[in-house]
Amino acid sequence: MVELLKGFLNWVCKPEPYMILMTLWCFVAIWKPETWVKPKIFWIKMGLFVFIYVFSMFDPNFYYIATKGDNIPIIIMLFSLVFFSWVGFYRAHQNDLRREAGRPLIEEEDGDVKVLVWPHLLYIEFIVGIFMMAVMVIWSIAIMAPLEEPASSARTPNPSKAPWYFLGLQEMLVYFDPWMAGVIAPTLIIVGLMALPYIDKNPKGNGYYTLKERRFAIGGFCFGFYVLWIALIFLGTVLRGPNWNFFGPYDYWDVHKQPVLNNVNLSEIIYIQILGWGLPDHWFKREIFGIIATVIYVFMLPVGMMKMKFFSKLRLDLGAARYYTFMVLFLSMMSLPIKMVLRWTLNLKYIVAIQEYFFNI
Amino acid sequence: MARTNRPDEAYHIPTLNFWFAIGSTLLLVTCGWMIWADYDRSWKNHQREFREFEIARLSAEKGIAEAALEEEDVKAKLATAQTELSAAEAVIKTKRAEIEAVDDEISAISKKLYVAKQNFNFKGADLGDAKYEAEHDFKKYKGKKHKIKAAQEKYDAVVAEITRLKTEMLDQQDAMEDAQAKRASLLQAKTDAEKSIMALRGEVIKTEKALSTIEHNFFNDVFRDAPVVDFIRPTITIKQIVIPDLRDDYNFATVQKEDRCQTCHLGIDKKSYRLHEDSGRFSEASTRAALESNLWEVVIDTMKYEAPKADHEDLIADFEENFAQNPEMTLQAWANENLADWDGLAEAVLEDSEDAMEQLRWRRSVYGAHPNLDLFLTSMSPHPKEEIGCSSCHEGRGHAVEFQRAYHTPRNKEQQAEWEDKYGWHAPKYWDHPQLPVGRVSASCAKCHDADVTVAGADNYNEGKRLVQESGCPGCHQMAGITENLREVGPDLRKFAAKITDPDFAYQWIWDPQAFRPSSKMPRFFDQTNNGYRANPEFFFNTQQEVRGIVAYLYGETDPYELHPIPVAGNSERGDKLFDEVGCLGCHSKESDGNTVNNHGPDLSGIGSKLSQEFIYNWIIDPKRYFAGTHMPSLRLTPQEAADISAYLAEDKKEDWKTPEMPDRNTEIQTELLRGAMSGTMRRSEIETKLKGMSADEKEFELGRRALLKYGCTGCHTVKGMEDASPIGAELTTWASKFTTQLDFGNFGPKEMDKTHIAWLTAKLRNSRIYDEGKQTTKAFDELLQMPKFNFSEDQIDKVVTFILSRTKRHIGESKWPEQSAERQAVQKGGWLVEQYNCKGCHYFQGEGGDFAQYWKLDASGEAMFTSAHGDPHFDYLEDVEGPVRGHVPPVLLDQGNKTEPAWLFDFFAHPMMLRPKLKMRMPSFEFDDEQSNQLIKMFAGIEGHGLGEISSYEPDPELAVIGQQLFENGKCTRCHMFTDEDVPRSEIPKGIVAPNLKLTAERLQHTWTPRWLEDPQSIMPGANMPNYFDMESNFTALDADGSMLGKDMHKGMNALRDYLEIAGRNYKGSAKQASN
Repeated sequence: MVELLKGFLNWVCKPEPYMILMTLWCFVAIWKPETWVKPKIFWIKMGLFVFIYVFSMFDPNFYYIATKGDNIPIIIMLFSLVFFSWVGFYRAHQNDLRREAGRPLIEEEDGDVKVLVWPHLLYIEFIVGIFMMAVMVIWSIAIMAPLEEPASSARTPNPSKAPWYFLGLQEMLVYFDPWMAGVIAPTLIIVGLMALPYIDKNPKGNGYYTLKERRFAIGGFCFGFYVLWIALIFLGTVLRGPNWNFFGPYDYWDVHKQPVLNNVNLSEIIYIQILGWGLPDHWFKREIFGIIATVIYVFMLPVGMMKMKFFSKLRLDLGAARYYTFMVLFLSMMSLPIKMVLRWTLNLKYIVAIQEYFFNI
Repeated sequence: MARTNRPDEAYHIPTLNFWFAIGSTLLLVTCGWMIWADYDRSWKNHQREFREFEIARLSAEKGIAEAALEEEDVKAKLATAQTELSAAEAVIKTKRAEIEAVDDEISAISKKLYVAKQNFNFKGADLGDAKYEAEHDFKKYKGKKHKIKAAQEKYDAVVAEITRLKTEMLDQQDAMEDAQAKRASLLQAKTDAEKSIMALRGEVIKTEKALSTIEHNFFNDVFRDAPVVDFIRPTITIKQIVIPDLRDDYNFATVQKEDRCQTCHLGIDKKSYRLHEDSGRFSEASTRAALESNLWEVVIDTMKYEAPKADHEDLIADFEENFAQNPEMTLQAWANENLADWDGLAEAVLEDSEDAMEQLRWRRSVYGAHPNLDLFLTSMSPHPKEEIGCSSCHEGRGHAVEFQRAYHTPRNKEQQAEWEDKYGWHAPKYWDHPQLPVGRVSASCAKCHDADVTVAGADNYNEGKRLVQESGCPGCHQMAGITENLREVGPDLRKFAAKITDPDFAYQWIWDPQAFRPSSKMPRFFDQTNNGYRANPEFFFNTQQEVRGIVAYLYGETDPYELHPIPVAGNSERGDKLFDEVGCLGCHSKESDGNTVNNHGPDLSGIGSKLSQEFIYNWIIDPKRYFAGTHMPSLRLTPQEAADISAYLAEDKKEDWKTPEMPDRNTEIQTELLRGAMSGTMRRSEIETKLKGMSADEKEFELGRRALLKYGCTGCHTVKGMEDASPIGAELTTWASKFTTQLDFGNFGPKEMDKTHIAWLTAKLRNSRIYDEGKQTTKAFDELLQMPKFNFSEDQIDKVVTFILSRTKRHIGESKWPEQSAERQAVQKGGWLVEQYNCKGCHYFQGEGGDFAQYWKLDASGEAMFTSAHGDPHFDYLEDVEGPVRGHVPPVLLDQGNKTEPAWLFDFFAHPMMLRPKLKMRMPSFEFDDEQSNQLIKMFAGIEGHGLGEISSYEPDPELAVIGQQLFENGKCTRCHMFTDEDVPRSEIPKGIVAPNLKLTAERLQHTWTPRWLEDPQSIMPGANMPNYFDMESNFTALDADGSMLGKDMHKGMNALRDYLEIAGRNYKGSAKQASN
């Protein structure tokens, strides 16, 4: 029974089902919040989550990873994220229901009453600060600093892992050229996050929780943050072992595991697998299909998507400059799941692979 | 919860106050906890505990010293001194006024002296300033004479003032000295009496003083070590050794070595904490009293409770007398010996004392002194801790002050389990160089002593090195420093066909060398766990065909060797005697006769089943003709002798031995194997063309050629056509510095095998193919591990592992290396030859060797006889070989570097001659080249701590020689010594003549040595048969009864004898330059 459960969880945690399930969860959470935000159901789910965690701690391999000094906060982060997300979704749902019923929102209940910053803000912050300090002191006594061996250029740790908050980026290295995953993507993320306040001029949701009024925005955030960032951090922490190979949460991290790495480029799929011609010599001829696909994706898709009602409305609401900026950012984000799916289904390595100029997509 | 409904408040303030109070208290408590967590370290407890032990130990020591004062004679002396003291004090009382006057004077002078000293010192500081100003003024006022003059005057004034002040001070000092002398003379008698009391009570006072520094008091106990204030001057401190010129390598930076081991191992360099070698108990009585007291109490209590009342006191007295006082006794031994008469008492005592014993073991392991303080740690030893530290040899993390973080390594599985249980020990994850376990630390000797042939005191390392060298490991595995010196350890196979005439025998030997000779050093390649029939039948058949190929190659590719016919009939009985006595057993063993003292060469049991008499004859009469590089020397056997020995050996057939037939040739398999082997370097079409053109014989030959190279046969053997083959194994020069992740543990997970170098190598040496376990059917034939299985015992494996662990990158700077003097180098170089040619199989020197003497015992009549013997590992020549035997066995080579003339020894190596008539054993002709002979001669000089010196040109004094001749005759030297100018065959030497020819003295002995030898032969060679003539009390008179010649001048006599012999030897005609026996 235990083995069966472990086997199932090991399977669920494989990148393919894991990412698909996370995505599904994300969309169900947004489109169908009515059921899951009910406290009873949520706490049952939370209980299940805790049960799986406690159950897993009995496994020596999982225990070893989960109790490493720098992994403990990641585990705490997972639980707290779930909890606080629920709080947000619950309130948003309540507000949506209130709005439908024409009742005032939760945030409106206090009316326009104002209270003094001291003591009503600073005092509680101060108290929380004191508790926080006590917790940090206890933490630092109880959990040793996770120091490892002296750094050596002759031997890097295996697995070599980025700081926990960058593990999502590191996971992207599996699917993208280092130049894309390591330089372009982080730049776009930062630029995108800075640009968002200027792109989003929709005043709805300011100062109160709501889901219905901002479904696309919240959905985009949830997908980008929960699935493409947090889920990948968990994946990178717990499920990536030596040589960045995938290991189930209960697998022993064997350095000698040898996964199959027979990935092919788009050009090889088309010219060899489909057409059976052999690769052209010149890179441009060889990569033409990938280049066309990329051009279509980046430049024509934003236009083409305006055929959809939602996007044409968005175009009208935002104006051309905001719309295209947003679409480029949005499509860049979506390129990760697309690339993942292509990898899982077609063993696709690069869509455009111009090694001659160190340019790969 | 603190929300309110009041419109002007968001929170209920008193509730917030409550939570504030809770939070603040929590924070305060956690801060306290933090300080405590920082303060409370395990090493502090060690120091606290050790301090208690020290107090107890010193008190015990004080007790012992005080008890010594109670002895009668000491007591009497003390009483006398006491009386003297009282008398002196009485006298002083009468002189009180005088003394008081002196005291007043001293006090007055001392005040004046203080002022004078201060004035002088202050002015001295002014001088520097004045000097500086004067010099600047000189420069500034260059050319302005009067100004310069003024400056000079100003300076001179200061100097004058200083001189005056100095005189003043010195005057006061003198006055002081006078006054004090006056006082001392008044008190003289008292001081003397006090001194003698002090001398008697010295030990007590010393311990009292030591006790006073660590005794309990508030300041020491509470204040100095209190949290936060313990930065000022705590009694509990980290004790570290900093060695700036040894660096710890942290990859991107090196830091000076800082070893803090002594923070916990507080007794490690203290003689008081030495442990008894056998029992492991503390050697010093006071230390035992301090650290074993718990155990004693438990044992005594148990005896009181369990033993019949009548016997208590006897038992307890015996316990205190014989156990407590005797560090050699273990509790087990004592209980078994003394408590056996009471049913179950011994068991009860042992059981009850288990906890106390456990605690004691722990105390010994933490506080016990280093087992070899003469060699390590102490300032007089060659490895003082201030210069070498701890982790230089022990590895681990010297900075650490916690058990786990110092990366201690358990010595065995039991200890590992114990540590895991008690201290939560686990194998280090983040430290590449954990401590070497006890017993393997000698691996670190190589960090500085790698060039030494053997390292004194590093037994495991030395033995491991010897095993590695004689097993031929460096033949396949490069090991810098070892490979270069090594010759191939197996015989030359270029004339193989003449030696082994039966191909089936050759097949069988290669297939399983131990089948014929269980002690063979040749390792086993075939029928192993990855290529045996059970592992994979296909591989099994493949290897059979490969061995067939090897046999075919060895017979096909061979140099001619002519077997000379044996000219005379051999007599095996005479051969047996010769074999035993002439020297064969100096290197070889022969298990079938029960002779196994030496095993430098192969065991010759059943050799007749392997070799023909003709071959043996040809081989022993001239080994180098068959194998130019052999270390087997010629014993200058006559054809008759060689015939006898060969007859004897050829007769010794191995019982029940029948050489099995080799399997049939399978050309199909051989072709397939060849195809596989060629595919690495040839195209398929080439291979097929080539294979098509080959006959079945050629295929087998070619397969054999490839197999010889593949299995690394050339690492040990010279094979014709493969003289330049390179080693096939992984280089081991820095193997121990490899990361464990670089070691292939095969399918063995961390639960099945520790991921350590030691575990990996131990398993590999037990079964060299172990890491192919579970891969026998997935690996290709060519991918199989190939290292053969060596015939090592568990103990030998341990030692080999220790040696291989010494192959590391972590060398220590040359500044710490032993001094490379010419003598030292000569000893090391010569030592290498000594090891290679097994000199110590026969000769005793440097404290070891001479094993051949084990074959000689005294029979009932006191005559020395050859008797069969097995080697005794604890054999000690000087202790175990009795006088009468010594003439029959090869001489000890003590003091050799001072004894023989280098030129003579050089000739002797080239042409050994008979020196000792009784000795049937022959010094072999090793056919050293000049360099080798010189190395040996220099080594002997080096062992005595000097070089060769200059060529002797000693001119004896003819007058003295005349006296010498008389002494020579009086002493009847020729009763034992030969004294002849000619070579005399052994058969013609009269019975009773046992000692070397004295006519050789001039040529053979150094002129300085002879008198020393005459003075005291025993001091040079303990147990020598030479009588001591120049001993004032006895024999001196035998030579010169009335003293007319020497006038009791011993040295004159010795010199006279020497000079006589020097002159007498000039006519010597029998020449060392002609080989003779």
